[in-house]
Amino acid sequence: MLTIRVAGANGEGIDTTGILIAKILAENGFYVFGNRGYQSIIRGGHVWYQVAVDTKKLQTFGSKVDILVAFNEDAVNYQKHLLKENSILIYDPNIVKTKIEGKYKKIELEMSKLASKLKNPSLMKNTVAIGAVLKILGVEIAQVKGIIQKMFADKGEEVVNENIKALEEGYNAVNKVFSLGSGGKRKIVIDGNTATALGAVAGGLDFYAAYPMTPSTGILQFLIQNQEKLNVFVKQFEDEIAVANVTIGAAYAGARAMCGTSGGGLSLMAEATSFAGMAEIGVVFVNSQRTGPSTGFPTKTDQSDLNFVFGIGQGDWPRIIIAPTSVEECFYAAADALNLAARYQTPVFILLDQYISERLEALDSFDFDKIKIVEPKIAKDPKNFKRYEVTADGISPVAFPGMRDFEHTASSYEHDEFGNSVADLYAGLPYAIKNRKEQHEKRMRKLETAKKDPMIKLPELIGEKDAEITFVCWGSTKGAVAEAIERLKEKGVKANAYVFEYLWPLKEEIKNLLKNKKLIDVEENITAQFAKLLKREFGIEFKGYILHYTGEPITSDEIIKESFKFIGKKKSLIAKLKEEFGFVE
Amino acid sequence: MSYESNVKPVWCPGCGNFGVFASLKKTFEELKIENHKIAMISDIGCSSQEPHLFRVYGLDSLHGRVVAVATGTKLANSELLVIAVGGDGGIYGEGLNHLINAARRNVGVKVIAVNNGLFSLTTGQVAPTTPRGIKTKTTPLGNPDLPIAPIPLMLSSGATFVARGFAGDVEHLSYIFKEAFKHRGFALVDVLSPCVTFNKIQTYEWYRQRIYKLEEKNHDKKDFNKALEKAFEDTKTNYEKIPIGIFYQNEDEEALEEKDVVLKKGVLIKRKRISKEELKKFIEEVV
Repeated sequence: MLTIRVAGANGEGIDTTGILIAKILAENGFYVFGNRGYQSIIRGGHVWYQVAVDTKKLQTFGSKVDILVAFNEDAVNYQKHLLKENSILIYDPNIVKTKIEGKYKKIELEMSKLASKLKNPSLMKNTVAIGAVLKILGVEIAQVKGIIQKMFADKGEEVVNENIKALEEGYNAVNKVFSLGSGGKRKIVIDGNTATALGAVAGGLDFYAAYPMTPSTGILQFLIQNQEKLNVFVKQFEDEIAVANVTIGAAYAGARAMCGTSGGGLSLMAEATSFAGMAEIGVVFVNSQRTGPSTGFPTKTDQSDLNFVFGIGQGDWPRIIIAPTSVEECFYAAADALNLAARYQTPVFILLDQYISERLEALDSFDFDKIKIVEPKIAKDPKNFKRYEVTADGISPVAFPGMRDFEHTASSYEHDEFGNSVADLYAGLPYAIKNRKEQHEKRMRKLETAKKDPMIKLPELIGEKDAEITFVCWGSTKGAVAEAIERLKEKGVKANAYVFEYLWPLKEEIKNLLKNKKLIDVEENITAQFAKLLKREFGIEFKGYILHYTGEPITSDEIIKESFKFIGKKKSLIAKLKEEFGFVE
Repeated sequence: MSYESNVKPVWCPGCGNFGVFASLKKTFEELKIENHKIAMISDIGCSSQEPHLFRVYGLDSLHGRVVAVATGTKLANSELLVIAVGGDGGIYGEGLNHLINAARRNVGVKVIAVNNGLFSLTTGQVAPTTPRGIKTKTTPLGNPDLPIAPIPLMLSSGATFVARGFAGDVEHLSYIFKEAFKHRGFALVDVLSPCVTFNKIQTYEWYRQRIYKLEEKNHDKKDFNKALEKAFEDTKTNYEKIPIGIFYQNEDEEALEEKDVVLKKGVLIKRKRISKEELKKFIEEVV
C-alpha cells in the first residue's frame, strides 16, 4: 500500500485533486481508498484528502503518509508528523518559504509557476501536482491522458488540453520513486452515500426525501441529480419533520420509501418513527452519524447514535438497525433495508457515519445476484380483511389505497384488528384492554420473526476461529479492525473479530458465538454503546474496551496500541511493539 | 357502495365536526368518487375521527403533521383524492410550516382545517386562531396575541385555492368541497366550526349573525387582489363581517405532481422501475 495526502486551504480544490488521483488510479485498475478531512467552512481553514493505493483490495486509507503534497505552509506544519523516513514531501518553494526540518525527502515543485503558462492557473496547479504524484508513483502517463479526456470531456476540448498540458508539466518536473506497476481491470470508485443511494434504487426505491445535513447530503444530491435516469421521485422538503412524515405518507400509499439525515435531523424525526411503528408502515431512515452531541463536529465521524436509534420514538415498537461495514456493503444493506421494511412493515434504520458516507472505495463491480426484491404481504380476501390481523409471526396483510374493497383506517392511536381506534370510546374498558395487549404483542412479535430471518445476518468472523483476543466491532470500523488483525498476526499475535452489521434484533446464536472469548470492544463512542447492548441482552462480559471519540476514524495503529493491555505477557514482543507504536504501559 | 362506515361518531352533540362529516358525505355522493380512490389523512384532535366514519382509506397521523403525510401519499399515488383533515391547532399551529410549503408547492392535497378557535380535545386551551382578549384555560387574563389569519396567509403563500366554509351550512360547505376536490392543485378550506362545549363565544348563532357568502356578492374568485381585500375583512371589521366561500382559485398553475420530472410520466407506484441491466449500465457510465 502506498498513500498520498494532498493538503491545503478549503476552496483550493483539495477534495477534487484527491478524488482525481483516486479515479485515475482506479481507471488504471488499482484498488484505492480515499478519505477527506474537512471542516464546516467554505473558504480557508485547513483540509486534506488521503488516497491509499494498492494492487489488492484496501480496508483503510492507511495510517502513514508516503507522499504529502503541501499546497501551503499550514499543510507542512499540520501534516509533517505523519511523514516517515522514506516519505516524500512535495511543496512549492515560492509558497512555503520557511526552512523545513525533518528526515523525509523533500521535492520542490514550482506548481504555481508551471501552471502560470496555462489558463486558470489556480486550478491547473492542482493538475500539475497530480502529474508529479503519478510520476513519483511510477504510473505511465500514456494511460492517464485518456482518462483525463474522459473525465473532462463535458467541459470542452480546451479544458481537456489544458489539463493534459498541466499534467505533463508536473510529470516531467520530478523523478520516479516508486514502482506501482500496472493494475488490473478498471475499478468503480464510489463513496458510501452513493453506494447507499444506488443500493436503494437496486432494491426498488420509489421515493426519497431529505433535508440537507452533513454528512448525509450526498445521498440526496446524487439521487436528485440523477432522478430522471434512475426514475425515482426525489425531493428536498422544508424540514426533517416534514421529510419523515412525507416518507411515511408515501409508504402508506405503497411506495418503497426512504429518507436520510444525520443525528440532529433524526432527533426531529423521532415522533414520526414511532408513528410508523404503531401504524405499521415500512420506511427506511438513513442516519449518517457525525460527532455529537448537538451540532458537534458536522464534518467528523462518530458511532454514538446507536443508543439514540435503539430508543428513538415514544413507547415500545419493533425496529431493525443495520450498520453497513464497507462502502460495498452500503449497496446491499440499502436494498435489504427496503426489503425488511416491506416484510416487517416497520421502520428500518441504516446507521452510516461520516467516515463511511464520504470515503471512497474501489471495487470491481456490485454483485446484482445478491439483490432481490421482497414484496410486502398483500391482502387477498376483502371479506376477511383485517389490516392489523393478529398473526403468529406478527405480520398482518396490508392493503394500499387504490385497492378496491380493502378500505380501512390505519392508525397512530392504539387500535383493534380493523384499525378502529380503541383510544376514545373504549380506553380502559375490556375491549380496549384486550386489543391493546393483542396488538402490542403482535407488533413486537415481528422482532421474534425477524431474529429467524436469514436476511438478518449474523456477525462476520474475521481472522482465525481461535484467537487470543477477539474484537467486537460494528459498522465502519471493520476496515481498521481487519487491518489491525493482519498486522498483529505479523507480530505473532492471534486476534480475530466479530463484525456486526445487523445491530437489532440480535439473533440468539450470538450468545454462543461470543462465549468463552477474551472480548475487546472497539467502538467510536465514549460509552461502549454496543457492548452494553450485548451485555444487556446476553449477559456478555468484555475484557476490555477500545473507545475512540476524537472525530477522526479509528486506525489500526490505535487498535494495536490499545490491544497490548489485553495480550498475555510476552516481554520481547511488547518491547518490539512499544518501539514501533510508542506504547506506554 | 355507501360512504359511511359502521363506526359511530363520538363528538359532543352539536359539534361542528358533524357538519364537516355531512358535507364530505354529500360531496362524495355527488362527485361519485370511488371509495378506494379516497385517502383521508387526519391530524390528531377532535377532527381525527373523520376518516373512521367513512368507508375510504384513512390514516390517523400525528398532531401537526397531517399535511406532510398527505403530501407523501399524493406524490406516491396521484390518482387518489387525498384529503388532509385536522383542527386549527394542528394545521395552523404545530404544523404551520407544512401548510405554507404545501401551498407554495401546489401539491394536490385538499386541506380541511376544522377551525373552532380552541384546543378542544385537550379541554379548551388557547389556539393559534383564538381571537385576542379571549379567556381560555391557558390565557386566564385573556389572549394577548393576535390570531393567525389563515386566508391572507394562504394567499401570500401562493395557494391556488383558498376558501372558508361554515360547519352550520352543509349545502354551502359541500359546494366548496366539490370545487376544492375538482381543483387541480392544492386547496385550503378553512371551516368555521363551533365548539359547543368549550367555546361559549363563537357559537352557531354568533357566526350566523356575522357571515355572508362571497358568491352572493359577485366576488370574482379569479381576482387575486379582490381576494386579498376580502381576506382581511373579518379582522378589519372586528369580526362584524365574516365572508365565507371561495376567496381565490387559480387553475392555471400546474400541480407539483403534474410538473415533477418523474411524476409527470405517470403514477409513481405504478411506473416501471429501472431494471437491473439499466442500473448496471448507469453505474458503469456514471460512477
